[in-house]
Amino acid sequence: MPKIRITDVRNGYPAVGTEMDVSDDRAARWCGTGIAALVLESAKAPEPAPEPAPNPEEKKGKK
Amino acid sequence: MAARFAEQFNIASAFVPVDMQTVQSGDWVSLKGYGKVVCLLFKAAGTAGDDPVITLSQATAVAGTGTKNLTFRHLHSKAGTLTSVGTWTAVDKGSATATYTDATHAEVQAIYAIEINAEDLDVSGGFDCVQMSVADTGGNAQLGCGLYLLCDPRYPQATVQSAIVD
Repeated sequence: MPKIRITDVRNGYPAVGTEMDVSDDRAARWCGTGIAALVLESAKAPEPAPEPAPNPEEKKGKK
Repeated sequence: MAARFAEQFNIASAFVPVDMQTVQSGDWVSLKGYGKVVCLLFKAAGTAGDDPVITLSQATAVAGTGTKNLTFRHLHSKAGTLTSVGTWTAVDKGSATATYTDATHAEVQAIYAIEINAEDLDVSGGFDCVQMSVADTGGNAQLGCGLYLLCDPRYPQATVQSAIVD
């Protein structure tokens, strides 16, 4: 979830300086129209760790 | 005879039932004649991620003169299928800010009640008016309306005084 900071005075919106976590869609919309600026991008899911390579020593031992 | 509801309370519109895809800047109400206002937001279910962002402001006149933040820390909410939600959930934001949103409420029906006492405003600065607004919710329909429930009239009378004038 991205974090944004309100940067423009607009009636009906939070005050300038307010930081909040918002949906990706809202971050894109509010930052795109100058209401807010992006503070922190959405945290991406960590990539799965690569599978461990087979240990050649183990194979030798089995023979 | 017991006093009737309308002799003790007043209800004013912040904004009428509307699709909150566009920002809703509520009407202003004055607390000159009242000790308390409860800002109510009543909304239908929308789309996840389109959570309403409620903001309270204060001013010295119902024209919005000198608008500035009105911070609050506590509120009450009901969220879900409202015909099945019988009790309030007390919300403590942890600190007083002028804004409230819940990241899981866009997709459910909800009622929010934010209680503001007249003394919570910057009284020494001449601030006695309150506004509740909801920022645009997103690209999907989400119906909602805002009401002010004005309590503790300073001058109880058969017809309590207007709160939409200074």
